[in-house]
Amino acid sequence: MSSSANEIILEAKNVSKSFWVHKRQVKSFKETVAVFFRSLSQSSESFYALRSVSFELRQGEVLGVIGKNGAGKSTLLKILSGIMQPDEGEINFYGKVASILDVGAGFHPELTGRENVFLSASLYGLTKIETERKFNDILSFSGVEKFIDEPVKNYSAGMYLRLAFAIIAHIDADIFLFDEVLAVGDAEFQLKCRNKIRELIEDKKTVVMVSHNLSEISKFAHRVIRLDSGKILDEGSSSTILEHYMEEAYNSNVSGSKNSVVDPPYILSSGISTDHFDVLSIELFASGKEKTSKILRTDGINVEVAINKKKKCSIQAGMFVSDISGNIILTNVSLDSEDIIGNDTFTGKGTFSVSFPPNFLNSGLFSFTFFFVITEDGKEFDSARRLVTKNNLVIKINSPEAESVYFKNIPGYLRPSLNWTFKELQK
Amino acid sequence: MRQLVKTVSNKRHSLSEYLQDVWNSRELILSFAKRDLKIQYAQTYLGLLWSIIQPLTALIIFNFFFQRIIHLPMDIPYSVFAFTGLMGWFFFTQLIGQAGTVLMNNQALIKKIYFPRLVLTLSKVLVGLIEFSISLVLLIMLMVITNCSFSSKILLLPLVVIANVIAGLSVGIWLSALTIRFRDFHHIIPFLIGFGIWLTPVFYPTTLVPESYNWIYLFHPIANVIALYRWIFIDASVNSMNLLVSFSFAFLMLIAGLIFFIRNEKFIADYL
Repeated sequence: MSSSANEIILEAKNVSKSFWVHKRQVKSFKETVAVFFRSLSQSSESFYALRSVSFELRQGEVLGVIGKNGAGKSTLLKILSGIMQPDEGEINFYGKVASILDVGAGFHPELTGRENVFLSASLYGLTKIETERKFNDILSFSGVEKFIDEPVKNYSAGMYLRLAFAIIAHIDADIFLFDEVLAVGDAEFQLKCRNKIRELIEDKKTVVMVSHNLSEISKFAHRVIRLDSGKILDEGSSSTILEHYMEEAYNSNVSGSKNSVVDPPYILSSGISTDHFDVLSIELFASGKEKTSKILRTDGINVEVAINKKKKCSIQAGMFVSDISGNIILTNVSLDSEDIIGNDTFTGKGTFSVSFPPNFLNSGLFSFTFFFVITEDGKEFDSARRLVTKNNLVIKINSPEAESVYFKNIPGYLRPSLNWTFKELQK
Repeated sequence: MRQLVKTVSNKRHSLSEYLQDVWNSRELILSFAKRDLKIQYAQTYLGLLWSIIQPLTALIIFNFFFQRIIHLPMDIPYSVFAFTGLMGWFFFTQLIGQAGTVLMNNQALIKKIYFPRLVLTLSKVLVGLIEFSISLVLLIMLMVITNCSFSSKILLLPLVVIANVIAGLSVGIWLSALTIRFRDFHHIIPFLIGFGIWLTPVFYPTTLVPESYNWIYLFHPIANVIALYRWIFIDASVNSMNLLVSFSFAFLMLIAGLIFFIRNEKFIADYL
């Protein structure tokens, strides 16, 4: 086994696939005739779903395929599975392939759990004898023993998925193709899926996975291919490709808002201006350094919010720090610090300051959003208004240059310096 | 050391390679047939008996019409005569009706998993065979009730059933492949079945048809199969020239249909 660990197990050579635009639309004879005559006068339109895609996979490797919708990910997977044929090029497999584009392929609601196991297993290429041999394992893995002879239409969604996945978990192959399989089911189900994929990787199986979920890809893939308009745009180790992709995805963000990764100095114009106060500027910088220098993980981060207060009122500032998918990692409000509370009577310019200690946030991309809570003089917070900055500030926290590669890109949002100790056992 | 297991490319598969692939998926054919039988009759009280209710109803109507109203001259019980025709006709129409729709009805599966698509069409043959054998039991009961005699020609029945399958597939596979591209055929099939029965000697004997129309039966896929059923069960005469031409024609159509199907199969996922 170990001697063959580095052998090429899958090679895709110049795989191209195009769709004729009329091919996809024509459904009837009349239209075909119409299209045929039109094609005599016009050149027919086709678009490439895949254009000269080549890659190799060695045994035990996990390849992630990422890209926007329509980049060609699904087409690639359908060609790898044999569902679609390429126009040009070829793919050679030096091992048995199992393609899992759907959990519960072939499941029919009227059939019992048992009947569905046999049907689905035969679709995945298991023989009846193999399925019979594995049936008890599949059954106990699924945890639906009691209901196995009930039609699956009476199953809960969870039971259905568990049974469907139990079959997948018992497929024997050398190369596994997964398409967004981890996107279905509840948290428990997804955990099961992840464990199974981990098991496959430990068993030196080769895996190709297509996913929108970048954190999923970064967890498993050794190598990533990024597709764009059918071409390989980027290929390499998963951490580098994902970092490029995330930055770009952020830069070309939705709805034209300016949520892009910026270079220092990190300044956010909030656009907040009310009767009570204006936000003048919001700045982030590495403590003790020039405002134009990059922020390293080992730097403290200073946050300064300058305001101009026009009326008597109480203003509290706060911030959310999110990852680039928008999950809020931490939140903080000035109300929690006692000395700011007494600012009711003050009018004029002032600055909220707060800082993160060094070695607090891990290296990576973080998005800062700020908000303010105003309460009129003497009123309760219940009547408060909350104002949130329209844009967020996305910054990149860099790893220190000198850091060894092994410790540079370890996942996680926070990397506080905790005190580790080590004691030798007594001799 | 390493062994090439599979290649995906645009190279055309030969007929024999494809049939080998289908043969390797034979268990799947069985699984699909089981599924279809189960689904078709799930939660019905009569179950499989439903498959004979249609021919039985037709039989009762024909019997009433041709015996009580038209008084068709017959030296054997008309019901046995008509049922031998209906049996073959319903098996045939079941094959072409299902073959035409089976790919569309399994779109979701076709888009998600690879298997030779002919498997779906062939699974319908198995379903048809089960339903056919129930009709066969009914025919034998009918013959016993009406005191008909059985000849040893019944031993040749399996061959005629195969001819019936070939006749059905020679049309069905074409319709299967054509429906992928042109959904018009989806609408043509019920039309073919509805009118086809009038051009087929199901409820009338060919002896009633003027000689000058005999050419119709030369290329008719199912008429000669029905003639053979009648030859076996009621000792009717057969036209060996018609048999030879129509069976060779059906066989050629089947092979050509298979080739056409294989060529189109690789585009199925593009069209669905």
